[in-house]
Amino acid sequence: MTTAVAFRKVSRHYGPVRAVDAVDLDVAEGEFFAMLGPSGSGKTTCLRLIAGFEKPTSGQIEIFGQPSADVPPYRRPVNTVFQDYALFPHLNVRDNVAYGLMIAGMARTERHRKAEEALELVALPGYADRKPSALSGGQRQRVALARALVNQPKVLLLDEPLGALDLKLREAMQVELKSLQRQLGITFVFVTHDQGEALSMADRVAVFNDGRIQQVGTPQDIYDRPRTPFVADFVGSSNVLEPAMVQRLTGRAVHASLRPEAVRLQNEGLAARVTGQSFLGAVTRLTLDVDGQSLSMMLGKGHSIPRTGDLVHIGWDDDALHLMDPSDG
Amino acid sequence: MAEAALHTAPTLAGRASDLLWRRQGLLILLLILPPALWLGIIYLGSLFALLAQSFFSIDEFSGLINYEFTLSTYAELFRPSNLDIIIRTVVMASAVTIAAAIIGFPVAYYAARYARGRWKALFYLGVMLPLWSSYLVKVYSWKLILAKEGIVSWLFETLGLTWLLEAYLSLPILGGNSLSVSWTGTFLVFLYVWIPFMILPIQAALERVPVSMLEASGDLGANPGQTFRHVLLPLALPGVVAGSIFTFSLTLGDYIIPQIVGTSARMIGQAVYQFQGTAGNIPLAAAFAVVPILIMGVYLYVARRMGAFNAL
Repeated sequence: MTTAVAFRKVSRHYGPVRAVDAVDLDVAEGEFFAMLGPSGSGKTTCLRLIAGFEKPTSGQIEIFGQPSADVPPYRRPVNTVFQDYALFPHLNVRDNVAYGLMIAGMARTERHRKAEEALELVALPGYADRKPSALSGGQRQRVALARALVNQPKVLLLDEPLGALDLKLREAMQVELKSLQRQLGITFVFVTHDQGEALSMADRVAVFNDGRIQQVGTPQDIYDRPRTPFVADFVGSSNVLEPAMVQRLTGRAVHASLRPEAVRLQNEGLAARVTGQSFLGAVTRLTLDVDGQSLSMMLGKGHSIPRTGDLVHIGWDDDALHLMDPSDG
Repeated sequence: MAEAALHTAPTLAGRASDLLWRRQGLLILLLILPPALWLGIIYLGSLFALLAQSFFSIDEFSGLINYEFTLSTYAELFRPSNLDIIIRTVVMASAVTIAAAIIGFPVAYYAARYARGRWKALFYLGVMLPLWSSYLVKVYSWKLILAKEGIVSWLFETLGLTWLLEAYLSLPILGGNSLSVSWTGTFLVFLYVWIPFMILPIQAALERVPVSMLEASGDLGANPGQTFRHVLLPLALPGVVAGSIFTFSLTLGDYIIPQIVGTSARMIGQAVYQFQGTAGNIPLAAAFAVVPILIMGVYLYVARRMGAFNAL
């Protein structure tokens, strides 16, 4: 499989701040790759490094095998969907979408035809004559997508493109983006701080924290086998058990993750004190205290819900407890 | 009791502010009335008085104003000597405006895009400082700078380039006995005095262009030159047009700079000054004064048609 984007020990420092710190990464061609992390974790800087808006302080980025150090953004085979969409306010939708083709020297009628096609692809036909200011957030997002895709980039970079949309629209766009990517076969590199979004859309996910990659893997890997407490905590709101408690349970003093839905109420087992409940619809989340370790669990319908302060007994299947070995980290 | 207390306005000031709170239209009326009266009566009133004057004529023999509607005063503007004054002034105003835009844009771009903190303060100081000193002092200083024995001649002499200055001064129209009595001198002083009025609006317009807009253009394959032409310039154009309205109209109407620095040939401002003063020909002065207004009207109309305000 061809590598679309490769990071080789890439760092980007701003004075003493290490925005990106010695990152190694391979994105395969045709892959839907998500960069996930909290704000300030370096994921957006990585995206800007690929686009060429930032230069690495050290290390090298290759795009389809080509070292990109001296290649300006306008010569890279990548296009970006910006977080604020960055549509040109003085051009109508058609000219916005056709902008890249116009720069490439394509004749007017030809590029307008292509722009109309791209607008159809993003389900926005008939809007070509409007100004961006006359569009809703979701429509602007589609125009930004069409404007990037019409150039047939080898890699499409998306910087939190769904961040400004409301929940319903965001969920619909997730599905659409995913099927669009399948249909076009273009490599997508997608930056987000929303773990649900990353896990549901991506083929592979890189979890960033403090300028470093914590873990790269498929959504299942990341969710079921988090490699660091940070990943376990950030992805899927897992319980992270402290080494002291894990030692009592298994004899090994390492962090471990335990998904809330794997925890059961039992007649006997580990004693826990209920410290709170929150009703989530289909399930109720209980927060528990086990010798100072806080833990949450999901309780399905049909169970009687214990009250705060009640003493309960809990347990889980042996393979539900995932030990995080610091040596793989 | 408590309810009653809620409704009592204890003082007169309290009562007044309650009234303004309830009737917000009144507040707006109070705020807008004085400037509206000022603009309406003093400014627009005198403008219409001027316009009316321009439709009267002067009796050639008695020098008295003939208060009858006529277009003959306007026809006089088309006499070759008067037409020369108009053309000369428009060419000068255009040259000053274009030069100010070309020099001002990079300065404004630097200030909007790169200057931060102390550098930004320094920028504002540098641009505004010339506006704080008297206009006359500046113009007279420039007369000295450009004079035959002035610092510019001295500089050329020191560098052994006097021949270059001489060659330039021997050019028709642009040159003259010295820079201070040439059109070049007038142009330089205009440029210096009005350039802050070009830089500040451009800078304000550029501040509003998000960096991501320029990045998006580059991302879509445009090199910096193309980004400038297709994105930056169209978005900054309202600022450029605003600045050019200042530089153009200020140059069109000025009568002091060409009086002090430059040749003896007159510009519109000087013509107005002389016709209404020494010559006592108020109608012709008024007709001359209408010319810049018409030119600016046409200019704004053309700018609007060309989409200069589309990005607003």
